Amino acid sequence: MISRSIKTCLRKIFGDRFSDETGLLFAYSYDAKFEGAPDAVVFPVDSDEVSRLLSLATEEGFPVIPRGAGTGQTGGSIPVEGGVVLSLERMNRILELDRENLTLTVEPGAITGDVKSYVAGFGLYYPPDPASYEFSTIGGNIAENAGGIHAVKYGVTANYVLGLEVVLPTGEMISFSGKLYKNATGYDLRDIFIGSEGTLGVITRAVLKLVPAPEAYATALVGFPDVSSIRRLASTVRSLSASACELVGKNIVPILMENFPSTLPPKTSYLMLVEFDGFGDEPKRLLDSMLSSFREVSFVVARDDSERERLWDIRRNVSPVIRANCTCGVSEDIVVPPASVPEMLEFLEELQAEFSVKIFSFGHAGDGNLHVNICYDELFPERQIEQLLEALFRKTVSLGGALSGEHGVGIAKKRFLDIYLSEESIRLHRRLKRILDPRGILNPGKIFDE
Amino acid sequence: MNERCVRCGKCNPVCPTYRVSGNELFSPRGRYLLGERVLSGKIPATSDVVKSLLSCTDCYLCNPICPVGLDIVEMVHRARETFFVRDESCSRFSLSGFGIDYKGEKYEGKMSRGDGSVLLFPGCLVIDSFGDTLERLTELLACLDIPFVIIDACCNYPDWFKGGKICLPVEEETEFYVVCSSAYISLKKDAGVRYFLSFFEDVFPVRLPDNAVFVQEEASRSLGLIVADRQISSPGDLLLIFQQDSGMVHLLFERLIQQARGDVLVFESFHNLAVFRSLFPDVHSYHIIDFIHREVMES
Ligand SMILES: Cc1cc2nc3c(=O)[nH]c(=O)nc-3n(C[C@H](O)[C@H](O)[C@H](O)COP(=O)(O)OP(=O)(O)OC[C@H]3O[C@@H](n4cnc5c(N)ncnc54)[C@H](O)[C@@H]3O)c2cc1C
Ligand code: SF4
Ligand code: SF4
Repeated sequence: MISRSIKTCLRKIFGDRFSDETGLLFAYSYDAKFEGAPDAVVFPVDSDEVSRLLSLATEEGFPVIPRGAGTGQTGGSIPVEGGVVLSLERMNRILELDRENLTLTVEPGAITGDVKSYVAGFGLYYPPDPASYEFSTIGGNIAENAGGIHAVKYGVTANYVLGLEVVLPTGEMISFSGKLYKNATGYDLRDIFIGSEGTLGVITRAVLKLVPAPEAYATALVGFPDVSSIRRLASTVRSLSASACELVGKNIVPILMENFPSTLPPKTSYLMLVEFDGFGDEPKRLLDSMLSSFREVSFVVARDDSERERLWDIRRNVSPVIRANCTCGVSEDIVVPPASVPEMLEFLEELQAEFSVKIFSFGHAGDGNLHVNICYDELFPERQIEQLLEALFRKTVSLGGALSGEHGVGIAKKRFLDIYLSEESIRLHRRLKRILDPRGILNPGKIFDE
Repeated sequence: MNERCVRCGKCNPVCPTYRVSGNELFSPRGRYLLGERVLSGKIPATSDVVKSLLSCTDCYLCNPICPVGLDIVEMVHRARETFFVRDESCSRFSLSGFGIDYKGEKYEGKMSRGDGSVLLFPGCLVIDSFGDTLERLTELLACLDIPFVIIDACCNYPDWFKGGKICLPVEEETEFYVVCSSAYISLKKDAGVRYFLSFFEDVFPVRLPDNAVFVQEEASRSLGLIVADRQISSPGDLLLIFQQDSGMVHLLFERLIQQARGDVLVFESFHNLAVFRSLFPDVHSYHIIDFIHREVMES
């Protein structure tokens, strides 16, 4: 609980952009997965207000939880011990498109989809595309280092952040790098804020890198009978620099077959949606060269835009299919080196049999990031879920992988962190946190315990 | 139905009140979850909860977006019933009362038809938040040499929902065309109120089938309401589309067009046909009304 006098100070700074009313506190008590209510919510409109809030918090020692659109999957924007939610939704302006330097300067609350369509109007492309891009914010994407389908070719959010303005927990405001494409001056401190899940500083402005928008696509849906083909297929796809390489796992394919009877390649256990993008007839050439080197697979190639959309519809149908067939379960987003995806898939089958659960897996085979949905009935014992998850993460790490490829740790995976991070590494995390946030006021209780 | 809100937040950015306020309390996700709790008695209807639920403009934009297929607006309506207060006063510009900054000229007097020009009632959301639609519409009228007067007023829909009184912005019996379908719903009890759809029948040599539905990209998201109003048993036997070139249209109409078993009629500035075809490859027959030449083209 924060004290009356603190609330008075906050009212002074934020006026009617401060609230602690019942409805509002409820509306800021959830993300896509977790729940926890704040004591108050503030809506700053500039970095100066963010700085005043954080100085006060460090002085008085109350928690501040940055929040974008609240679409996180790991509880990053959820207060675990009360405090003030710092909503960045009103700091959502697109500030400057620099067409000479190919950069876009934005405030953190800008919706990623708005940014993408804004630059598309100028023939430009902002590639990062988490599945939530139409409803999550740039700040949230940077804080989680979000990635998506096109990461296999274009990389993740971090690859498109040139400059950052950050307000530290102590209230100091620092700008990093601006519009520079390279910079070897001093430590690269900018990057510690990317993926820091709102625990090290509040991002108040970002300079994003843009690229020319691709103009041509070549898309195919490839079906194959067993995991053995995946390894070669995925590595070929990567070496040809495909822009998407999406895998759909065994349990999902038969249901998709029913939903899209005539579109799917025959004799299919696994599906891979492969797309090349670029200019002129290059994408088509690359796709042809890929397909010509595989005999064991069957495939459907999109002949025009509408067929391409149809193939993507199949991929988009994956989440609804899982939702319809899995009323109770957990969803993980592990990442392994791309070449280890087949081994991981085989392991998931063993896990499914061992624990008598149903596992629906799909994801970004090209970059090794798999979404693993583990479904069980409501009476399934909690302890066994924990054992199953631990087994999954241990296997992931033994393959050289990590707990999360894009959703972050938050409060969801905190208890498993030491499976991946060494003791020394966790100590370094803590030290870094303490240097930047001496009183531990910024988003406490996330990623690791202090 | 046992479908639950998965709290994905997908519905939020399409909501005009969320866009303007930047506040989850005024978002579809917030309203749905609050509504649930108000109905089950878990959260009391405090003043900010009431404000959240009443400020929904019933534009229905959120419903087609929800991947779970929830009826968000219906939840809002049910929750509202727990605290309706009848209010017979006649307040205008309701939206401004709900945190939406209504920038239009305050309409004071009453309009009459006078010089024979068409009276257009765009509705405050169209004027304030979706100016693009209005611009396209007036361009079209100018292009057709049809004189028009815009009634810049609010329809009182939110007040009407609370049981308030509708105050007609025109003299009794004066005919005017309402562009926003929510506004149409709230005003239509009066004789002179005509839905904009009939305007096309008046102006063009086409006879629209009874089951025609007029969809504009931004203003009339109340497709559900209009469908109900025109008593179409299956939505979208025929769809009329007006202005559809922003990225939003794909999301908005995807489902509706999938349901459109029959023809799709496109009211459009024609350069978008290519876009339309690429977005909706499964729609086989088009009727395109060429506004300029007043011709109907079919494919
Ligand atoms: C249906 C669905 C699909 C999804 N698909 C993907 C996907 O494909 N890929 C993917 O990577 N993620 C995905 N996500 C997860 C989520 O959308 C991302 O993590 C996204 O980046 C969160 O953005 P947000 O604006 O909602 O942030 P929030 O959820 O509000 O916050 C997320 C974290 O960022 C911090 N934060 C937010 N803004 C700032 C700021 N300005 N400064 C500092 N810290 C800040 C918060 O404290 C919190 O820790 C999906 C989520 C859903 C619901
Ligand atoms: S009906 Fe319109 S105003 Fe109401 S919640 Fe849905 S999108 Fe928002
Ligand atoms: S889109 Fe549907 S499921 Fe998602 S938050 Fe909105 S109401 Fe809930």
